[in-house]
Amino acid sequence: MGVERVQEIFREVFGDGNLNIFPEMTAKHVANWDSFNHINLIIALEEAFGISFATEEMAEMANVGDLIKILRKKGHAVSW
Amino acid sequence: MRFPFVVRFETSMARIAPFMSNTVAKMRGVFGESWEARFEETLSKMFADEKTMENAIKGYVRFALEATKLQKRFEKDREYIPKTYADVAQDVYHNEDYMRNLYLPGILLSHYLWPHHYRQLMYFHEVFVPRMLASDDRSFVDVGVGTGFYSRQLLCASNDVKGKAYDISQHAGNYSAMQMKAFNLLDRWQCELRNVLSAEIRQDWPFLLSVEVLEHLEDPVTFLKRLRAMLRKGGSGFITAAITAPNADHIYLYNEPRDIIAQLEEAGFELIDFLEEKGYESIAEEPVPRIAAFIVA
Repeated sequence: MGVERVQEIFREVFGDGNLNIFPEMTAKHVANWDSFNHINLIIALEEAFGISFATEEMAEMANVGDLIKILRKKGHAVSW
Repeated sequence: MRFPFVVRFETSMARIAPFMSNTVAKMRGVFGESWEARFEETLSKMFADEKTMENAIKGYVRFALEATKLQKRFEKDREYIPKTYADVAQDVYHNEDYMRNLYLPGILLSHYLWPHHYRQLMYFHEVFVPRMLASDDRSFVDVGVGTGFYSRQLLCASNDVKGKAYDISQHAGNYSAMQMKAFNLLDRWQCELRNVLSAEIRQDWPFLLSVEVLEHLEDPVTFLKRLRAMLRKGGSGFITAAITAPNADHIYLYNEPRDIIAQLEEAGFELIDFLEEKGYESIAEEPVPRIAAFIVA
């Protein structure tokens, strides 16, 4: 699964079919990326990739690039 | 700049956790300048140093994310993850890293950043503190002192208030002492590392606090009976609990305030007044985290 799947998940969680993710993207680029939707995003990624994020990892995802790095650390070859 | 520490907090929060960057603005919008002044005082005394503030913010972010994820699971399962008191004592209360870096700063900051926690604080000041100030004997006991936050509120209400606290966690005791020191209150407060159920305890306190302890216990009624024995006849207690609010150490599920009222009455308390507040409005009738605070005699 590549970054396209991650982008699909972002589009579903934030309800925006035109959302295009990029490494430096943070919550300030997405209108409704608050703590609730951060957790919705976490849960959607966990289900899609069959993984579990530790508290530390959830907190360290300040931008999309950080998120992709964590997915790679968990063994998923996600690349831009 | 009237509240420079709040500004610094807000800026650091936006950098550390951009998805929480609106937290301070939302609270400011709802509660206004009096909230901001209280928050400023706590930040300036406890987290004046930039690094200390940053570490507290990181702790709060982790605490809040953990609670939110557990809440999402709870919305489906409608039960807390089964754990014993021994499990949570080991994983949480006696875990120095977890307590110092996540749990205690998280809880402390939640008093200002979670609307229902702040409303409980306002209720405490409006309804319970005047009861103490109307009394000649202004001594209190705080059972399950946690961060020391509510002990501090009482001690700051008047220079002749004195308090004693109990907790089973050395780390909570240390953190509370740090808070009292920051506010120059150590000469009027002492803390003992002790389980009130298993010790000889003074039994004629005029005022008693026990904030968010019940949901951490396998047997809240036995604990409440001990609290009732500790409160003198004619005394007043402030006892609170979390409702449908999972957390790493919540093991007893309350679904409604009446569940807690039944236990308070079974323990021999008379209910004087209570408050129930939600963390936020539900969208699709899903359970939301709530607090209930009870003034008892």
